[in-house]
Amino acid sequence: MSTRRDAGRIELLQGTLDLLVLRTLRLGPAHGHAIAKAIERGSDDVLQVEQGSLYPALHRLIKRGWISFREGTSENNRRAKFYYLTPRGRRQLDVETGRWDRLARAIARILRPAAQE
Amino acid sequence: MRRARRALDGLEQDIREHIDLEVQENLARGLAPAEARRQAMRKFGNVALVREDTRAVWAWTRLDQLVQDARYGLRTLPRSPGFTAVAILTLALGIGGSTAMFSAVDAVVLRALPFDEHDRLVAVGTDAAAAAPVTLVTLPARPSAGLGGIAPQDFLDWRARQEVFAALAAFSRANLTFREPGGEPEELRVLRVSSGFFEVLRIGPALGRPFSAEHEIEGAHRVAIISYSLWQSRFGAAPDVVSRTIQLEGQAYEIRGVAPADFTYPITSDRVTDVWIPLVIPDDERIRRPGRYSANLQAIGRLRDRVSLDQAAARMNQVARALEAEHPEWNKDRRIRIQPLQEYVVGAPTRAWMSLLLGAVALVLLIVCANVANLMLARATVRDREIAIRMTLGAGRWRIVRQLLIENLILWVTAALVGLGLALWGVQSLRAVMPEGIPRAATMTLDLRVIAVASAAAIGTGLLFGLLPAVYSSGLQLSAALKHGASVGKRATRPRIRRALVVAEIALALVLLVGAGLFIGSFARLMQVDLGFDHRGVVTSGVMLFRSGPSLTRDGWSALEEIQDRVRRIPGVEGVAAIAGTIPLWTSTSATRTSVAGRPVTQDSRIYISNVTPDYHRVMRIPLRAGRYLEDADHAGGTPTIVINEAASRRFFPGEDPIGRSLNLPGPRLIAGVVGDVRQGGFEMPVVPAAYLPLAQSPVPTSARSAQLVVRAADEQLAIVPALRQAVSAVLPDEPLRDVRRLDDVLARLTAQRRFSMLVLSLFGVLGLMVAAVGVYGILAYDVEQQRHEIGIRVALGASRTRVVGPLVRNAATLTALGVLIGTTAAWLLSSTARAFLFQIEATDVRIFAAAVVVLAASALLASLVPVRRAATVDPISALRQD
Repeated sequence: MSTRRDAGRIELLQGTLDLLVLRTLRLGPAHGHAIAKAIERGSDDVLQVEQGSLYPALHRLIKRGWISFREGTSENNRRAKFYYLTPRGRRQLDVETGRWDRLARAIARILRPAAQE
Repeated sequence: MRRARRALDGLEQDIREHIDLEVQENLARGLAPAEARRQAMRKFGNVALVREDTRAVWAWTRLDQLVQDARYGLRTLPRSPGFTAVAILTLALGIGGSTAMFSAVDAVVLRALPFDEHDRLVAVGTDAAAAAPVTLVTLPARPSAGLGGIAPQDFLDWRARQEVFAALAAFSRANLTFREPGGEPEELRVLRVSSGFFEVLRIGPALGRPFSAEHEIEGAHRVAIISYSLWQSRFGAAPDVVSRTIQLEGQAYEIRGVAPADFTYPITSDRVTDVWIPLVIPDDERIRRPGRYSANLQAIGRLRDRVSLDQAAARMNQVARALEAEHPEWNKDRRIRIQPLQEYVVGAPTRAWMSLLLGAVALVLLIVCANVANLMLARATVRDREIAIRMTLGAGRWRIVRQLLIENLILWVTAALVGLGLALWGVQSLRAVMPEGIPRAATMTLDLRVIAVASAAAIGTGLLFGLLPAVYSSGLQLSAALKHGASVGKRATRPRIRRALVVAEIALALVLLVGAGLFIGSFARLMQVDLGFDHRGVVTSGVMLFRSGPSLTRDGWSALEEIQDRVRRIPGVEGVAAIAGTIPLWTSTSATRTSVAGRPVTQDSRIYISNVTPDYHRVMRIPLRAGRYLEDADHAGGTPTIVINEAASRRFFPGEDPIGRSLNLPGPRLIAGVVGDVRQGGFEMPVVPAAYLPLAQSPVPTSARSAQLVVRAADEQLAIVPALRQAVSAVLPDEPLRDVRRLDDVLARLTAQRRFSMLVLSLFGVLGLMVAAVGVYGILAYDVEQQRHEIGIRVALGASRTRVVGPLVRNAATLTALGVLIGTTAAWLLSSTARAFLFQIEATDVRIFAAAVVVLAASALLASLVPVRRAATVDPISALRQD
């Protein structure tokens, strides 16, 4: 019962979104909206995240202990949660990034086979 | 959990903040405020869904979600207090009642005997169906399911020749005088046991040692094992009690040991055994003398490993047949029967009776469940809207079903808890009012097993009956449910199920009512039976008169006369007499064969004899039919005289006048009078031929060396007991009063089981009726509620009140009629199971069925009055205005 997604948008897997969030937070703490924007801009607007789905992702990461949060003030001078990477999260980011790279290379090899040996 | 709370704290704010920031950005890009917000919202997605999904992250165990569902349920249930209260109450009654009854059945019937490897224990006896031979027959005091008593001669041979038992032991009961030094004489329950007794049960004494074979010999037999409670109460739990002595019947018995706490045998709810002493079989009871057969022993045994009951019975009967070959007269046709001890202790009649009660309470439980299911279905319909909304918001069907299920479970669990409380009270009450003579009734408790079974049943039925409405509720047509006037979107299936449930309730209630009616009728018939004597106001008490020798000694007789004189002088006493042998309502009887002087012995020539003093019939108010009562003139020197009852007169002198004739008993005795028939053994026993011999003229049988005093007192009979005791001790200072009873109490005890059944079944009948009535009320009230709108329209359009009410009344009548029809058929079919318990009443007595139907119909009518009235007084304006 959700709203329709644009045909143009690339649907993000759950795990991938988590990875992107972790990466975004590597640069420093941010609140929810800022993270969403960072992902959009960082991908040149290719990845249009349904912003609402960010929050379950954030909470998943909190639950796993990879990120945490503290209260802060937003640009609107209102209270907002600022999320940041934990040391564990930092380590996990490296692990996940490595995994992603290997996956991407593997898929690329299949899609564009190198010159036959 | 704390982390979750912290994280979820302010989630609303976060979301709002997020959206606002996006809106700002859009505004900065130049969008109009409305468009800015719209795009921001679209970009964000479904807020409610996000919220749920985020929360769902933290619901990391099923348990957490369940807790959530439970909390929700706890909020919604109190919102409809009527429903909740009625549901919990009726459920609690059903669960509590069935748990209490199950406890009783468990304690009495199901629970294993508290002995090691109890399934190896058996009761051994003669096959009671076989003919009992010649002259004096002493029947055992307990009618025990076809296991007859054993003669000592037989027991000794069986024990010597058997190979199938690891141990075999015999026992007999006795009441012996016990006297503490300087104390009053009193009566103790004693069990005489052969040496293997404790070995059979595998019970070792808590203190001291068990008996051994040497103790069966006369002279070495004065040892005793006392019960734990006796040790505590009379010996102050002294650790040195072993090798002290206990005075029984004026003789010193050395205490050899103390039985373990909680051990007793025989297992009944009567007084427990106080002392065990060795069974001594005197020499003359080891020889098979013609004409002297006394089957006064009972036996138990422990089967050898790997020997089955049938194998044991077969081998023992080989022994029996061998004995028959050796002693053709004495052992003619005597066979051995073996029964599992548990069956023997409980007894088939008790088992059947308890099953009946359990069945009745199960019916009540069914009615209650049907009612609550009905209520829940009705309620589920009311909540259709709420459920529809939740589904629109994205809640899965399974989630809704689960939540409804949990809600229902809360209901059932609460009801189960209340029910268990009721059951506790119920068990205590049952224990108090349970008729005497039901074995192990005193041990019934609400133990873990019962609680576990009851909880499982409650939760199981809760799940089952909760599933029904939950599944239906979630199978909705969303649009129909959300529309105004939910009554429009009626599904055809649900009303049908509810109506079916109500019909089932009515049918079950009818079955219960018929059952109650049959038992009430039975009891009424029972009470109408003429016992033949006036039991009100009579106290009986036993006095042991003769220490040795079989005949009434001069001393014994004069002692009795003096006692009677003294008792006669007690203020309030209207009359006193004595009887040796039998007293009405006692179960022990003494019969002999007789013949009319000058005629040959006929086939059916048994007559039951009682030895009485002349005043006996007057004191008992047994009417005189012909001739005269016994008189003082019929004393030791005079003509042997007797008085017979009408049944004897009919049997031996049909169509003739028996006065002046004689009966051989043995030796001719002159018949001086005929008295009215007395029912030996109570209401349900047949009338048997009886003869009354004057005590002064008769030899007293060996088994009855005491006389029973029969005293009629003005009122408050037990008040004269101290005076009685004084009168007796003035003449016989060493004798206690034994078995002081009011005949009223004995009678009450005999009818206790029937009265109890009647009360319990009536209670269940009323309960079932009330619940069924509530069911009828419920469904009608619901219909009225649903159709308010329609009714309002029709009344506004000019329909008369009666026309409006018509369909409702028809509905109620149809349901009731259907229920009655099904119920009557069911009761008819089930009636054969009740036949065994009824007394002089046909299980298909039409009057009782009719009465039950009338009562049920009247209740249904009453139940429908309120909703019908409500329908008739619907205010059309408010009904139309209503949603």
